[in-house]
Amino acid sequence: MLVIEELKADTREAVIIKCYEEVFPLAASHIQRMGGSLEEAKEVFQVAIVFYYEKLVHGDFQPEVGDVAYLMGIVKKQWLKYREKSKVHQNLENIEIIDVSDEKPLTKKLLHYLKLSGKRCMDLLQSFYYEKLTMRQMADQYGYTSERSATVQKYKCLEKVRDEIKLKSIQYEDFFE
Amino acid sequence: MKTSLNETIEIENLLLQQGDTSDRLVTEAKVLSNSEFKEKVQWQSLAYDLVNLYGRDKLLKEIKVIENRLFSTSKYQSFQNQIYSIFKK
Repeated sequence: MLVIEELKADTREAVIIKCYEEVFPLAASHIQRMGGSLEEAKEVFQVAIVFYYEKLVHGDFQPEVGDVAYLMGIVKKQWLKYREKSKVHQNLENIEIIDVSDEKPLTKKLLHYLKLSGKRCMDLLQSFYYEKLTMRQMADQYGYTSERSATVQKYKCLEKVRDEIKLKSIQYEDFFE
Repeated sequence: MKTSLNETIEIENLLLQQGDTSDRLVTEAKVLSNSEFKEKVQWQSLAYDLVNLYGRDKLLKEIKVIENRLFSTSKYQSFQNQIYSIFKK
């Protein structure tokens, strides 16, 4: 059901709904059996879909086991990770905790800045580099007359973002520390 | 296409390991001999990382909106009942 051909043919939204309808009941049952709540199941499943999507889109990956089983494998692994994090948090709840998320604070700062200052460029770039749309799809989605125009615009945006990162990073002097 | 755009493409081919191999070797040599160019390569590499993080953030938001709809609209009532029954156990 969730194979890459389908991801290309369907909208991303349709594929996400399918994931929920076909796999979330299994994921929820597993998490409930392990003592988790509905809110925790939702949180774990959201991240599992992101990982699964990246596996499908960013490589020529095809799961050897069925894709429902593969997504469930990610859910189980993600649940263990989530539980581990919660335990650490509980043990330290009386101690002042610094932000230990995966993104560095200055990466977050830069990302926040780019979201505000160049949303259109970031949208366009992520469509190509993250969603892996073709230039034809890019041209249609962003209203360019040809694939060539979309290509030129993509590189202009990349230059703009690169230069803004440089400028802002110099301002946030400790960026690479 | 302007020279600066050609340079951006050259860096992209190097970082994403695409295009002609011999051209990439020339670019690699340029990285070693030109510090300004080397710096540009580093900033562009960071730009790809941030674009991917932005894409991931966007997908996560999209998933949350869809999930919210699945749990709040009557169209998905049977799905909601199925899930709520799991947590009533």
